[in-house]
Amino acid sequence: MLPLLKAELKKSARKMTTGFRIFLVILSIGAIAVSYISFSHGFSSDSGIYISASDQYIIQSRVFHHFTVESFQSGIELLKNGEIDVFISEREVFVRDDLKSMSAGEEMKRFLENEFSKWLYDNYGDRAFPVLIRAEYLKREIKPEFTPKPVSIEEIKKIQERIPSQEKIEPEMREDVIKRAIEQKPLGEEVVGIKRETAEFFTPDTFSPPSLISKMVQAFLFLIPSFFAMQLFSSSVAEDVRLKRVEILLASPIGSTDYLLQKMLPYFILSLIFALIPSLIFASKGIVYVLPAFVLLFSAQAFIAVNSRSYRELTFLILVVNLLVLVYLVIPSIFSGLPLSDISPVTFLLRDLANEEFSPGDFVISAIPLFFMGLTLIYLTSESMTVENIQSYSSPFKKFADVLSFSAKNDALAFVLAAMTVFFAFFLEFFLIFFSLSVPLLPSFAVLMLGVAVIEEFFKSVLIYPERTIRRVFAVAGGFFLAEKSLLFAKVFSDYSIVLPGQFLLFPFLLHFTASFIFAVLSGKDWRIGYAAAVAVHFAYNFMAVSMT
Amino acid sequence: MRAMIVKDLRMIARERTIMSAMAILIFIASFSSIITFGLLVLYKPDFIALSGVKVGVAGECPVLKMSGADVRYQSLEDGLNDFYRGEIDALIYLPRENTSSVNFVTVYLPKDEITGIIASSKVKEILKEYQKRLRERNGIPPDHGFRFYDDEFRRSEIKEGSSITFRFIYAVLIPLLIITTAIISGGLAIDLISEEYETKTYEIIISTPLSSTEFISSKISVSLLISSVLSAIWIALLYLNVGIKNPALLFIYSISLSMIFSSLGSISSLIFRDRERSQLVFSLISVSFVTASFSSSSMMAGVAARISAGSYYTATEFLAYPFAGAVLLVSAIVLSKRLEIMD
Repeated sequence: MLPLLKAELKKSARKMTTGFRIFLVILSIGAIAVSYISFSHGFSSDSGIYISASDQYIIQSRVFHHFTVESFQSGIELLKNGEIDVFISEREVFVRDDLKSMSAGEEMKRFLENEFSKWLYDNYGDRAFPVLIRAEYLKREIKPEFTPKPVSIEEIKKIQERIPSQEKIEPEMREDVIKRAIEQKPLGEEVVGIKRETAEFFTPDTFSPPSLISKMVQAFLFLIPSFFAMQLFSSSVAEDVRLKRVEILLASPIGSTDYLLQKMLPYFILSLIFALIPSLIFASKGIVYVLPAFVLLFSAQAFIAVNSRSYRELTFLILVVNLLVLVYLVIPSIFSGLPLSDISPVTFLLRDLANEEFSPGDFVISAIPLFFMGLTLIYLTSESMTVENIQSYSSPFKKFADVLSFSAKNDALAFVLAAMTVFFAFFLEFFLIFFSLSVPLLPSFAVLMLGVAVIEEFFKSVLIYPERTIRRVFAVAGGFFLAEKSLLFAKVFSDYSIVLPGQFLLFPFLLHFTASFIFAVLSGKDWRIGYAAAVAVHFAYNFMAVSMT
Repeated sequence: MRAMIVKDLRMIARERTIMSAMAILIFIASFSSIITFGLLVLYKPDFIALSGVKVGVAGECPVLKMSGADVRYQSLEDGLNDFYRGEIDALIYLPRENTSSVNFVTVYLPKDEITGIIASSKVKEILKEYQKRLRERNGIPPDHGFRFYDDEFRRSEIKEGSSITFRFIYAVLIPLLIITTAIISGGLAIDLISEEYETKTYEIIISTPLSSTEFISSKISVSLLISSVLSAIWIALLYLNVGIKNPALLFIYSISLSMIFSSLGSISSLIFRDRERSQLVFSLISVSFVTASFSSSSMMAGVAARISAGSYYTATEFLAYPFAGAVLLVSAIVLSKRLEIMD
């Protein structure tokens, strides 16, 4: 039973000698200790990033490197020459009109406000902070109605019950809130604390929308340790490929899928153990939220390990893929409060850590694309484990296209694979949306539309190319259309489709069919002509659909 | 040794490894810019837009109602009805105002809507104005009284959000680019060395006139050449786009860190002689380096931030890294010689 699993454990035991294991434990403890101390110490790389000067005051702030000048005139001269970023004299603060100096001015403004708050508290006590704010976020669905119904009395009562009355709030609490507001902590402090947050009050100066950013470091604690187990797994598979062990195994009764699963199992369990530790520490269900990410990451590493031409390529491709997946997992949580953030299961992990309420169904929806991509990649890796493919010197990208194309052995399989590739397309389009945020609106809009066409037509063309028949065109267009429509049932993806025109019912199917048909007809002589034509049609449709809406 | 370097560079060019490395750096850059955008949206919502949002105030609170609210309500019920209908985007509720004590205000904002984030900025402005009015009534100074001017003595408006952008570019993005380039360099050194060990070509190489020190030096040189190309590209791009200061010093600094990491990678490969263990040990060391680098101003990230921002740094802070790199490089070469003798 599971002979490869046993062999893997034996091989691991042989390589990881007792001495090496002790060394590894010491190194791991060292890494954990360094990381803990660093996080507890806080983020300090911006210390002394601005230079301030004054002829009267001494500024004691982490972000300023401060010195005193002899006279007002010399301070102004230094500012004009760019030797200092901000100059403060009497009740006047001077800055230049450039990014660094304006930024220094903003920091100086914050510093002065903090110092002023401290002074107020010392001189007037809590009388100087007459407003304390509690925020409540209410879900609403605005529908156009001629006679809108008023909010039910029960609902109003429930909301009113949550309002803390003046008498219920203890004086110590007021003091605590005010003290916290005026004693600003450096960014990053307490990020490794295990205290659960509760609803609290803010002063008008400290009030801001809720953010999961402070919890992001905790998300990394659930993810990063598992990367070491993944690294061991991909190295082990790559070693089997490089030393031709895989070719021998392929000649044995053990199938390629069996090989992959048995090889993966011990490392996958190790990853789960790594995720279980922070789950227990934070008393969270974190392991559940990171499971879909592990499935995707392990399967992606398996594909890269089997299809890379050298260790160099393996290292770089794994770095690229890990970064892409990490960005997909972590970045949406920055936009907490917007529906787009629910696209990643890690947002739900952070919500769980922040004691926020959410629907488990929303988490399942965010996990589905990762699971399906993972399963598809396992299938493709298994299909790519042929002697010809392993010995081929083609690039991993070409091998991906080849194996996807080859795996569509009949129309039914092409239909299923087309449906599965929708998740890869959405994954890549997510990066296109983020790219579009950092460039001007009009070019970003065009690039977004073109990018969507290039990605989607690539997947469809690859599946149609081996059998350019009308049946195959129907199967691929239908599979793609159905998966796309199913995804759009979920709220998070339907919001996502506002920028990716897929919200109409039959038009998208006609588009997918037309573009695929054009590819099938024109790719006979050269696939490039067919692909370019399909992309052009898809782009034109996207552009028109978005312009009209 | 030259032939060895050319061979490895040719392989890298053939596999387009450098393209993957470039892709990694672009991801890092875009990752940071998105975080900056997210921070700006959340903490300075007026960065995207502030006009068009309506804020209502409910309760018996005459001073609060005079502090900039768009709509005023007698009861919470009336305010909530308008809030759920979409007539207003936020509701501030204060049942009974007490101008001489603390007022506990409840703010209702829409969940999962960008309007909620934008409205929170307007709510903040209204409540700041309210706080100012209450302070004035109680004889407490309403603000610090400092005013901002430009270097021509004209009144200056400080733009909110510029510091987040600046600190993110210089104290996060640039250090991340330097560290990633150095890690790429270390990983490359491990792969170049362990591949020769695992495919047994090392034994053939060593039987030629090439010594083990030349072997190691050539592998480290290749990884440093690649990191030099990468550093030159991203430093040039940042110089042209952002106008970073001291590009030449930053380049030297980046290469010094690459030297540290590629020497560490080489030492790890020389000791363990297989990729699996070498990469694992190197990754653990890298994690410690990366987390520690942001924790103090004299560590890697802090020094890089101040060099590129044209801020103050000492010669010792800068020279410590080329020195450490040179020591580790020599250690790797000496270790290769020792191991050759032991073999």
